[in-house]
Order: sequence, then C-alpha cells, then structure tokens
Amino acid sequence: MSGTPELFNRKDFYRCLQCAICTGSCPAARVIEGFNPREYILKYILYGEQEELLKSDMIWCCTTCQICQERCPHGIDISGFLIHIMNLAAERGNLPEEILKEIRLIAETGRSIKPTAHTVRIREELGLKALEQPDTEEIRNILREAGLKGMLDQK
Amino acid sequence: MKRLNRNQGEHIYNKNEEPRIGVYVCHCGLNIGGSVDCEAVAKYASKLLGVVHTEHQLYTCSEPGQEKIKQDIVEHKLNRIVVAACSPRMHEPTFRSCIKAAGLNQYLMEMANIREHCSWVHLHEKPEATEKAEDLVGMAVARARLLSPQEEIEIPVLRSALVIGGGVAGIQAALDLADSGYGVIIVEKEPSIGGRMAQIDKTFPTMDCSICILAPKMAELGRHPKIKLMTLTEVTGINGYVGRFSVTVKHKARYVKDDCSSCHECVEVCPQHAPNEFDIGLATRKAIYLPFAQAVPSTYLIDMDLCLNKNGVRVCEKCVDACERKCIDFNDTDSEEAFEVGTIIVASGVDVFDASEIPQYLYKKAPNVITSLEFERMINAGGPTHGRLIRPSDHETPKSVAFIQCIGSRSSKTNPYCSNVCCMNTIKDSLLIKEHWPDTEIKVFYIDIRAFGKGFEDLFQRAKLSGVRFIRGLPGEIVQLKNGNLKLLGEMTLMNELYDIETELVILSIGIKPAAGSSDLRKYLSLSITGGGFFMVAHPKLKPVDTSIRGVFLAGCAEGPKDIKESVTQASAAASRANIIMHRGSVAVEAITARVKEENCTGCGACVRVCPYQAIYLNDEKKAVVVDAACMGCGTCGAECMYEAITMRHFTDEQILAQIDAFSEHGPEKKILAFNCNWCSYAGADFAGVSRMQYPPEVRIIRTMCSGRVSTRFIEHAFSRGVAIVLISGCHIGDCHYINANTFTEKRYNHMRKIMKQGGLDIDRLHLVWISASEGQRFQEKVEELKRKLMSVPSIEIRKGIRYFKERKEKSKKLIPKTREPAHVRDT
Ligand SMILES: Cc1cc2nc3c(=O)[nH]c(=O)nc-3n(C[C@H](O)[C@H](O)[C@H](O)COP(=O)(O)OP(=O)(O)OC[C@H]3O[C@@H](n4cnc5c(N)ncnc54)[C@H](O)[C@@H]3O)c2cc1C
Ligand code: SF4
Ligand code: SF4
Ligand code: SF4
Ligand code: SF4
Repeated sequence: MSGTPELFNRKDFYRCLQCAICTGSCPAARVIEGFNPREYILKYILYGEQEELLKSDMIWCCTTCQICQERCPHGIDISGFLIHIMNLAAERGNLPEEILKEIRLIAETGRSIKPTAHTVRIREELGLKALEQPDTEEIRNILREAGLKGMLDQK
Repeated sequence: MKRLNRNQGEHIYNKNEEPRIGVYVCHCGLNIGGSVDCEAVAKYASKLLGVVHTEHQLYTCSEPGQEKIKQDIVEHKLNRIVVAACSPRMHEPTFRSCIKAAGLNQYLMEMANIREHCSWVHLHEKPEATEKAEDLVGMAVARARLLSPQEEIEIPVLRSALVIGGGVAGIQAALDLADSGYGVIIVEKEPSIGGRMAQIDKTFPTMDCSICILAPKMAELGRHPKIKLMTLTEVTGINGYVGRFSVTVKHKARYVKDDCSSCHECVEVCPQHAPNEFDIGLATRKAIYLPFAQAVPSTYLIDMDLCLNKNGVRVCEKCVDACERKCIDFNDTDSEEAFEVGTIIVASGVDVFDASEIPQYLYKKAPNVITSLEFERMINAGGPTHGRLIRPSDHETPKSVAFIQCIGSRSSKTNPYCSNVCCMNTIKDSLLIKEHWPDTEIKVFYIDIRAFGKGFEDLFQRAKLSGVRFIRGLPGEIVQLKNGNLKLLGEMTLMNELYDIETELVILSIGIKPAAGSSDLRKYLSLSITGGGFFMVAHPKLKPVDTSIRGVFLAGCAEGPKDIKESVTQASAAASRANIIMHRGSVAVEAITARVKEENCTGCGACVRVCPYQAIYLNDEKKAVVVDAACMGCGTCGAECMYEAITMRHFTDEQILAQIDAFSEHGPEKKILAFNCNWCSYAGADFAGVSRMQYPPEVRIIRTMCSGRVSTRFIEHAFSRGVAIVLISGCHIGDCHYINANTFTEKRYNHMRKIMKQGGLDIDRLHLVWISASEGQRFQEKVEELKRKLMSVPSIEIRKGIRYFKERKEKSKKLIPKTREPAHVRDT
C-alpha cells in the first residue's frame, strides 16, 4: 500500500466493530447526505486505500472536530485517517473547487474568511485590538512548502 | 506427615551410576513438526553426552508414545528421560507418572519446551526454530545428567472449605460441599446472600422467576447444619497452602441479634430514610431494614451512618421500644475472626458497569435513561414500582422503549470483553414488556446479537415475532427533549441510513465487571487475572475451575462473564474438585524444597531474612534449618546464600549452571538467555505460544519456580561464558506467587547492574521485566526489544564481559572470608 499512513497504526482500524457511533455522532454526516465515516473505515479495512476515495469530494466534508474518535469504543483515529486521505488527494491535485478558493484566499489575505465591516465593529465594541495585516509572503511560502505550489499560482 | 514410598519407583538409584539418557522428540502432529525438523533434533540429541537412546514420535503423550518410553527404560536401561514436546505446565505430570510406572523415580525426567516456546512462536523460520529446539534439548539433557531422585511428602488436608461470595455460584458450591459432609464457611460482604440473581426478575432463556428458584436454595443454605454463614463479612487475609489455609475475616456490626423474627415493627417507627441499595436507589429504606423480603439471614440490620444514634450518643430509642424480642443491640461492634480451612472456592461474582462513564447517553442526567439492572427491579413485582414499568420523570408507563446494547463492553476504553449476558437479557426484557404492555413500541439498538446458548435463538426469534425491532447501529448520542422524551441520533448500518428516533424511555444494557473487592482477594491468594480483570484458571480447557494455586478454585462470574446456568455448573465443578482433595485427606507436595549443606553454612542468616514464609531459621549451633512443611521452594534463600550452603532440590545451582553451559556452547554472543518464573512469566511465554505471537528466535528460556531463585552467580556465569543478553522475568510486584520473593529479584538485578557498571560493561545487557500469565504480548514485545539490542552488542563488549566476570569468579573463590556479610545483603 503506497503511502500507508504513519500518523496512526493501521492495525487499529481492524478493531472496528461497525457500531456506527462515529457516523451517528458526526455533525457533517447529519447534514451532508452520503458522508459516512463508518463506511470509509469499512472500505479501508476491506479494500485498502482506493482510488475511489481519493477522488471523492465527500472526504473534504470532515470538519476534523474529532467527536467520532472521542466516542469510538476503540478510539480509532477516524479524522486522522480522513486527513491522511485528504493529504493524499491534495498531493494528486484532487482538490474540490471550494477548498481551492479558500486556499487562494489564505494565500492572498492570510485569512480563510475576510473580515467585514461588521466584524471590525464588533471587535471595537469588545475592546479588542485592531486586526493586523498578516505576513502574506510568509504564508505563501508555508503553503508552497506544504505542497500546494501549483495550486496557488493558477488563477 | 508420612513418607511416600509406594510407587516412588523400583529403580534403585546409585549416585555414581553413569547417566543413560533417553531423548523423545515429539512432532505433536504438525504443531511442532510443522516448523521444527524433529528428526534432525533427535539426531542432534543422540550425539550429546550421556544420551544413549533417541526417538522422534508423532505424539509422545499418546498411549503408544508413553508405552515406548516405558519399554525403552527397561530395554535400554535408561535412567534419565528428556521429553522435547509441549510446556511442562501442560504435560510434566503425564510424563512423570509415565516413567514412574516404568520404575524410574518421577524426578528423573526433564522437558524441553519446543512447542509453546519454539515451533508456535517461530512458525515461518524452520531452520532457526530447529536450531533453537536443538539448543533447548541440549540444555535439557545437561540438566537431566544432574537430576537426582526425590521423595515427596504428603501433607494432611483439613476437611473444611471456605466459599467467598454468596451469589448463586457460591450458594451452589457451599451446598454441594456441605451435602458431601464437609464443613463450609461462606463469607458474604453484603447483609444477605443472593448476589445479582436475587435482583433480577425473570431469567433467560426459560423466563422462570429468578427469586422463586433462588430463594429455596438460599433458605437451605441458611439452615444447613454443615454451613456457617457469615454475612456483612470480608476476608482480610489468607496465608498457608493447600490443606491448611489460615483465614482472617472482619465482621461488620449488625446491631440486631439473631433472635429477630422479621416482624417489621422496628421499621414502622424508624424516622430515618435512605435510598435502598438493593433497588439501586429506586426505592427507600429505613435506617433499620432488611434489604429484600427473601433475604438470608432474615435478621434486620441497622445502617449506622443513617441511624440517629452515633458514637454511643443515644437520641432515639424508637426501634428498641418497638422490638418485642429485644434484639436491638447498640453495643454491637465490628469484630475479627480467624479460622483454618483445607480448600477455598472464590465466587466473588460481578458488579455492573457504571453507565455514566459514557456521557453522551445521559445516564444520571436525563431521568428517563435507566439501566437494565434498574429495569429488573422495576419490572419485579416485589420491586419499588410493584412490577409497573414507569418513566421516572412522570411515572407514566412508556409507549415506546429503546434498548442500547454493549454499554461499557467490547471497548478498549472500558471493558474490552463481551459481557455475555446483556444481549439475552435485553431480549428477555423486551419480551417481558410485550407480555405486560403488548402495544409498546420496542427498538433494540445493537452491534451484534449474541444468542449462542441452548434455547437462546428461540427466544430471539420470539422477540422478533412479538414485534420487537432490532436496529443495527448504536446511537452516537441521545438528546433529551422538553417533554422528557429522548431522541436517539445514529446510523442504521444495514441501510446506510441515518436515524433520528424519539422514544419515551431508554434502557442501557450495561455490561458486567469483576466485583470491587476482587483485587484484594487476588493479593491474598496470589491469583493471576486475565485481560478484563477476571481470575485466571489453570488451563482454559482442561482445568476450567482450578487456579494455579493448589486447593483454590473458581466458580461463577468471578472467572468471567457468564449466565446463571454456567455459573451453577462451574460451582458444582469447583465443589467436586475441592472434594477430590479433601476426600483423599492428604496431598503430595513437590519435592522442590530447600536443603542446607551444614558444612558450608556460616550462620550469616541471609536466608532467614529473605524467606517469605519464615520457613528457614538458625538453630542453636548457628546453622540454617528448613521447615519442610512450610517451605514453598521458591529458592530465594538459595539465591541469597553466597556460601552455596543451600541446595534447592530439583532446581540446584549445578543443574542451572549446566543449562547455562549448554546454552553458551553455540554462539552465546548472538543469543538471549531468559530466566522465567514458573507461575507468571513462563506461563506468559506459554500464552504467547498458544496465541501464536511471533518473536525473534534468539531467546532460550530457563524455568525456575520463582524469579527470586535467579542468583547473581547464574548471571555472572552467563556473562563469563560470553552470553550477549540476559533477561530475568517474574510476576509483577505485588503478584508474586511467593508473597514478595520478587522484590529480592529486583534488588539483585540492581546490584548486578552496579557490578557491571564497575566493570565498565554495558548495563543494558541485563534486563528485568514483570510479565503476568496473561501478558504474552508483553513477552513478545520484550524479546523484540532485546533483539534490537542484540544487534548492537559488539564482540569487544562480549570479550570484556568474559574477562571481567572470569576474574571476579577467581577472586571470589579466593577472597570470600567466611565471616563477611554477603555484599548484596548489605546493599539493601
Ligand atoms: C442486569 C442483569 C441481568 C441478568 N439476567 C440474567 C438472566 O436472565 N439469566 C441468566 O442466566 N443470567 C443473567 N444474568 C447473569 C447472572 O446475574 C450471573 O450469571 C450470576 O449472578 C452469577 O453469579 P455469581 O454467584 O457468580 O456472582 P454474583 O451474583 O455477582 O454474586 C457474587 C456475590 O459475592 C459477593 N462478594 C463479592 N466480592 C466479595 C468479597 N470480596 N467478599 C465477600 N463477598 C463478596 C457479592 O456481594 C455477591 O453477593 C444477569 C446479569 C445482570 C447484570
Ligand atoms: S465508532 Fe469506531 S468502532 Fe464504531 S464504527 Fe466507528 S470507527 Fe468503527
Ligand atoms: S472528525 Fe470528521 S468524521 Fe469525525 S465526527 Fe467530526 S466531522 Fe465527522
Ligand atoms: S452480550 Fe451482547 S450486548 Fe452484551 S457485550 Fe456482548 S454483544 Fe454486547
Ligand atoms: S526462601 Fe523459599 S526456598 Fe528458602 S526456605 Fe523460604 S520458602 Fe523455602
């Protein structure tokens, strides 16, 4: 299996009971039809890392909130696994358009969400200091190092 | 104490006779033959000093296999036998009686464990496994050459038994033994016997009323002339050995005398209320109470924490005035008692899992989430709601009920095992609800339904036919709604569909776990435990109720989760095993106790200080003397005595040194020498074998009874022979089969590392690890770790060790002044 995750012990996955507590707990699965961490674990056990999963836009729905592994009877690192799959997919350039947009925004502004007049006002009201402009050059370097080089430049 | 001469062997042993050893290499079908070339091993053995006959057989333990050994003993005049086969923990008794039948003393036999410690753990390395088997046989032959015949003594057995725990298992065991005529003391920590079975309503799979079938047994026990029942009592210590265990117990004060006629008048007047434990707090009781109607004994008791009269200050006399028979005694105090018994049955049972450990299921937060045990009390006609199923929030009977399975079970975070009874219990409960309120909508959320016993599948089908719906997939969480209802959020795995189901009542199907006090019992009795904390049996198939401690047996859930039928079966089995020992009236003890060579003894008293049993003392002439009946043969004194004045019979220094010599004959610089204690770490290595855990083949094990037997002499000798790595392993501290003998192992280990450091040696060539009988994996991992270490020990280091320890040996030969205190004693 190429690129078998080193982040976690593959054998741990084989403990899975298919109890479905993960999917039952998952906030993303609740709102996005078809997103099913339990099923991904099962397929991973049965078939290993499959192309199908790497190409799927679905995996990107994980919010990495980790409630699944918090409740999993065996503490299986489910979101770690999904992150690993996302990384593999990104390496191959399988990034959904929405995610790409976000990455470019970060590259340009240093933020994943643009501050609006409203947020600026709330900060003032709360007595928080004004937002500083992040060092976008530095951020772009980090993103390039992280393997997103090609994706930053194409517009 | 009488000498056992009959059948000890007709062979007249002559100290000067040449050893004539027969070696039998067993294929064990393909179990050994599959990964060890047994023929080659037999051939190798035939060239060893003293070996005059070898065989390799398909099954040495079979009738023809044993016959062959007997024939050869006569035909070839064999006087020592080596069997290279499975673990001696498995078949040593078999082969001992085999050679005894042929007229040889049973102690003239040695086993080489080439199955659990070799073929099973090196399944795919035939050449290495074969080489290892040859080494193991070589070591066994070296030891066999020095074996001498031993005579066993018989010790008397008291014809009385202690049963710990008064659940259904303890009750059954006590009745069986008492009916066979033995005196039985049964100790129960609660105010009444009955255990879990007294709490449940109906029993699966037959649906008969639990207390209806249990109460007559409880009453029978209560009035049995041979049984002494001690409730509100806990064991505080156990010493001794099979035949004569000395037990101390503590009785809690009851404050009500046995004259109590259970008239209930006192309860009527008592002003103090508290939740009733028996009903899991669903009902209340008074400060003076009887836990439940059928309780045995039926004497009431006072909960002093609740009673208004505390610390001798009397402010309330209501119950005293109400009691016509004048049974109330505020002067009653806790007391202690000591007694002796011949055998012990442990039936301490189980506690239930605390469901609040799983926060998302809202137990104790949402009133309408209850446990299966609470349900049992509720549905019981004698329970707090008189058999009505209600929602705690509004006392209405729910129209929909959801069961959630595997609560606390099958999880590496809580209990790793399946609790065995909760699936069937839920099926039973769902049928009970359907029986009383047929319109109730019942859903069971499960992972797997385990309905494996006789009549179980029938009951499962009945539940389905009566309309109970089984949904595969546990809820991720439960949300409490304003009306007290509960919403279950989860996924139905068989449909790949999410659900969002509202229900009026949730019943959590909680698992079971070892009883709270069982870790104390374990310490008192030096019992081993398995993964989930349940007591371990001597052999999972063939000795299912024996423990590794002779004379101590297990019954019921103390051994592992099981239902009533199995608990009762096991209890009767345990009683009959105890009966065998007590009926004979005596047991033979292994002839492995210590002997003192008076001429070497300087009277330093080192042995006296380390003996865990005070079995060795200095007499008026300042010579050590061993009390044979008290000595357990751990060998700690032998390891401690630096004047070599102690001989451990059947585990002599000479025998062990000969094993080390044989080990180091071929490539010691590439191997690991391990000393494993019989009870924990050797059994742990056996367990690794049984579980086919694979590890590097470089390790060879020498068995000693206790790690406390491992003398620094052995370690120094090994290093002086160029052994790369030495591993000492024993039971965990606190679990030692010989009370605390392993603490001396630790001291010697630390002392040895100091000596190595002084010599500029790599102290990491000596390791110590505690391994319990169930920790095969720990042994596997240790060997893997040592293999990595092995690769990094350079030959210059090995040579340095040889030189250093040879020099030390020379010096110590010349230098030990007869009066000096041994260095390792002063260290401590
Ligand atoms: C909710 C629930 C429902 C069940 N339903 C069924 C069913 O329908 N059918 C069925 O076959 N099985 C059922 N079972 C299983 C059944 O309860 C057990 O098989 C049975 O109780 C085991 O009996 P035991 O004597 O081994 O243990 P227990 O019943 O647990 O009794 C152990 C006793 O030992 C005492 N004790 C513990 N430690 C000490 C100590 N250190 N010193 C002195 N005393 C001690 C305890 O107080 C207790 O009285 C159910 C279990 C549960 C939890
Ligand atoms: S919660 Fe854990 S055990 Fe259950 S299905 Fe998900 S990954 Fe498997
Ligand atoms: S970490 Fe991902 S898969 Fe797990 S619950 Fe959160 S969103 Fe769902
Ligand atoms: S018996 Fe059933 S509910 Fe209980 S732990 Fe085993 S599988 Fe789970
Ligand atoms: S230390 Fe062990 S072997 Fe020595 S006398 Fe005591 S019990 Fe026996």
